[in-house]
Amino acid sequence: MPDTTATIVAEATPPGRGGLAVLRLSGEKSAEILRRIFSPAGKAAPWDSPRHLTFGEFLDLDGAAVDRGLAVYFAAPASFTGEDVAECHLHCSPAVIHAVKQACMALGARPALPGEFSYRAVLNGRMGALEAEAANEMASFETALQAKTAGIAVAGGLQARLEALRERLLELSAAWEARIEFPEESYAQGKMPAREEVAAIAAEIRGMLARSNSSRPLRRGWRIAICGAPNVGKSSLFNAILQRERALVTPHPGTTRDVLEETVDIHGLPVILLDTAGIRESDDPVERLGVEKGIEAARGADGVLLLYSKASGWRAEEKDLAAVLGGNLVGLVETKCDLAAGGGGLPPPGLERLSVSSLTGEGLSALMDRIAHWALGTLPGEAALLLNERQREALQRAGEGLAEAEAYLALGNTEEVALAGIGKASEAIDEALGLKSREELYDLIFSRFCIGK
Amino acid sequence: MRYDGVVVGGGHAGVEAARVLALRGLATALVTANRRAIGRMSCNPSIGGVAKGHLVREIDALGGLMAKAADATGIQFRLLNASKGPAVQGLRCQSDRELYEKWVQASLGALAGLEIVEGEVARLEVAAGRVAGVRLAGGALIETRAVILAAGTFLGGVLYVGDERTLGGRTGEFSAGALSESLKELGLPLIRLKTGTPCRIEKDSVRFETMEKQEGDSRPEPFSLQSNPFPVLPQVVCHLTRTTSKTAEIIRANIHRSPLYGGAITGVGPRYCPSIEDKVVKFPHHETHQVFIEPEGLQSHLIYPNGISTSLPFDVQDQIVHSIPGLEEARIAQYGYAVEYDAVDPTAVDHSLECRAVSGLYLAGQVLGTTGYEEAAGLGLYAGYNASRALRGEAPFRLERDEAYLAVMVDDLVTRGVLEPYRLFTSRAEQRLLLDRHTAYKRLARHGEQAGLLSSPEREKISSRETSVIKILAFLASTKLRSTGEAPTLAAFLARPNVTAREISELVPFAELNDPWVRLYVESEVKGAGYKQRQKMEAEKLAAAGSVAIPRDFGFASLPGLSREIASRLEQLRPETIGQAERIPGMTPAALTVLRVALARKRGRS
Repeated sequence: MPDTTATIVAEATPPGRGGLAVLRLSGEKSAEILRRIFSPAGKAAPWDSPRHLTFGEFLDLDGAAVDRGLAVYFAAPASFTGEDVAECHLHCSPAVIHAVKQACMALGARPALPGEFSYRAVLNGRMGALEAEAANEMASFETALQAKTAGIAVAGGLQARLEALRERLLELSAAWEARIEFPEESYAQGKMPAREEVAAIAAEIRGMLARSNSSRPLRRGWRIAICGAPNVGKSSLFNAILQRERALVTPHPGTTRDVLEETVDIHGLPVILLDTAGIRESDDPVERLGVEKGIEAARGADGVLLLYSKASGWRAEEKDLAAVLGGNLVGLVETKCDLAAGGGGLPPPGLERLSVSSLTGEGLSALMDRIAHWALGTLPGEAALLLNERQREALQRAGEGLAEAEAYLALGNTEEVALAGIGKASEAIDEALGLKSREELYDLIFSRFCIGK
Repeated sequence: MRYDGVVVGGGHAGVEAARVLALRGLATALVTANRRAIGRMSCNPSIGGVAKGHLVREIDALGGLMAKAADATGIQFRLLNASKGPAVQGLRCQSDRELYEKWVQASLGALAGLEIVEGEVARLEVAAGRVAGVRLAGGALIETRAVILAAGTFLGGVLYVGDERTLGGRTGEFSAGALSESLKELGLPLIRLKTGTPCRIEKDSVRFETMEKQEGDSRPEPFSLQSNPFPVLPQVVCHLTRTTSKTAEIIRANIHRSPLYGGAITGVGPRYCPSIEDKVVKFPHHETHQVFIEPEGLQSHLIYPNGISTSLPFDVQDQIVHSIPGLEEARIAQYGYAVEYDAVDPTAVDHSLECRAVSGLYLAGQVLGTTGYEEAAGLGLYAGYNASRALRGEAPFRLERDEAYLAVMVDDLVTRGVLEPYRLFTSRAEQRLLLDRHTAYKRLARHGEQAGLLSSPEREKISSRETSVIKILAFLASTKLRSTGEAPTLAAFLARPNVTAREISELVPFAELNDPWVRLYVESEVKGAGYKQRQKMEAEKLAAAGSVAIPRDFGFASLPGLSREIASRLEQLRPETIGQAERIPGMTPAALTVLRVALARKRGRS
């Protein structure tokens, strides 16, 4: 656990993109450090008027101005972390950021660990555990769209859903527990909540997990395999999209043996491109292994780009490949469109076809559009639920608890046995919400049912 | 005067505590204002219920008194939740109030080494943070090294009826105001609680013929394995009636005369024992409320109307009673009242029930924030046993939450504190499916044996039953239902819903299966094998995660990353393990992480 008394500094914006970068300081020395690295242009200083943006110059260790921008100061506890916070809005130049950050560190701040601002916010009660997790993900997101979806969780969409689930489980438990603990009380014995409620809540949880599954690519990126017969230019296209020579390209078929993986930003979406070995029957055991790996990778990917070259045309090999890989085709790509057409035929008219040349760059931008369009099409729209691994694990556990409860009931047990499973489900949901409380059960029992002799 | 241990109070907690000390060979004094009130049931004449019945059996397994007293003086026995699984079935009995206290008094009277001292304890004498003795109101000093304070509702007790207030802990009895002051001086945090009781009615003025009858079980089960013959007393019928809309009208018209709603009472009452005025005000949509008409005893001329506890003035109580079918002509022999009293915040004691601030001072029962005879008796036994161990230089006695309801209660009180008088519920236990009444002796008798509280014929009876059950379970698991073809084992067959052990008894060559003590136990083990196995695994996992010990001198305050509030709570409660820390209200997952990491570091260094 990091020392929570130190003043910490780090970029609050993702590295590398955008016009502005925000450097954030949190801790007791924030104001003192800001005084030394920022010189206000006018009379007003940010440390004198918290929560107001002030224009001025940012200084390096030697007091030389390195950038002009805005600074803002938040006094504890009314800040993101609940501590004194200073923010420097700089121009997004690595050299500028480095210089100002170095100055902060020389003046007593230490670099923040990943998630440490959120951690302090939670410790100081400024943030629930759930919001902290969402905020942390937002900070590490690479693309704009991801951040937008994370915004749903920050705004409490997930929180509200989990709270609703928790409420239903609590209602069910309270009604059943009241019957068990107060068997002589006519009001506690009143209307029995249906056992079907267990199944209904379980179905709701399964639904949430399923919806979150479908938004998974959004967090880890869409995996797209580039497939095709040998020597149709898969590696060339791979390199062309990456805009660098990542894969070894030779005129000899069968050069690519392993599956290469690279992440690339396509119109703001994270895409993981897989360059696979050309698929053909081969006598070379190493190449055969590569081919098998390639097919495996293609099947495990979210989508496939099936390549054929203009020179050799659509052949029996391509037809076979389309049959094997056709399920999740992102598009059909005719490569080497700068060359003259060879003898082969044309693909069946139903498939969308794009012509590209990795050499001239022709058609590449249309291909990018096609990939982004396809990727967005796989998203389930507004209903997408962003769950991190911990939340997913908790929901899964909740589902297991309810399955256990259902199984107990099916075996002829009475409610108190089923409640063992329901208790686990409640606990898991509480964990996902960062809560723990048993007393609430009794609050509900005694407010709902008139109990007591 | 000088004793090894002094018990203050002769209620259900005091009785068990004094008995344990005396049985363990310690010179013991039980100080009470009135020796004839020892073992008195000051509220309803009933023992047991769901969770409470479980606890009574646990007390028996540990060698306590309550189960035997209840069996000897019970006049109606019922198994509650009989249609549910064994984990939540609860034994409950109606007792003959007078015979119960006489039985308890006789039982204590037979103990060598126990002296009953009549008097009021006015002061605790403490020297250098240790109990030195108790000072009686007359000035006499009883020197001792251990005091078990079980003063019930007498600490600063105030009785309320309408706008009348009298000092006292029970009708016609004094209030221990001085002792309350003495505790305050010692720096013990006091909280103000409240409870109440209904009026008592002359039996011959009740028209039973208009009421619904409530019979006991035709083949009742005793609380104690040792009770034989059973039942001892003739069994009686109880009755049930209901309040009417007229009752509600009377209460609404007079609510301003209630000390509860008039604001005179500030103490917090238990939500599960609300007064009738509470029920009417808080649940206006319920037109009627149940009233159980319980006999006070075989010879008693009184009945106890359970369900209309109230502190409204006498004339309103008359009207309320007369508005109830069957009680139109009823004469009230003794009016109901509310009592407000001081209790010590239970977080001021540790898991031995010994005050953190005053060593040698133990607390049990209502003075520790609980309600109920059974809770009191369990805590009295536990506190008395721990005091006796300390006096004999032995290590403290501890039970785990998956081992006994008694442990759940002690841990809840000590780590969580109370906002209202604490009552046990089965749902307070994480693994309640393991804590059914059949397994109480298996779980706890070895502790009773070690304490020397079980006689040798008692130990013999307990172990012979366990042996029979093991033998029969092994037979059921290894024998097929039919000798030919594909047949399930007897155990698998018995595990099916609707199959009972009685149905297969002809196939089992062990006569013990005819003994209900064995038969029900076997049935419960076979039918619950699946979920019990699972809960056991979960209990072990929880225990492993929570068992990390926290050193006695651990500095919570100097731990970076803990909020000041949580750090000071931890400093105050000084949890012994991570598990205990986790159960403290207000603990956050982040704070627990901080604690875990700090403990791991400390272990790494040492």
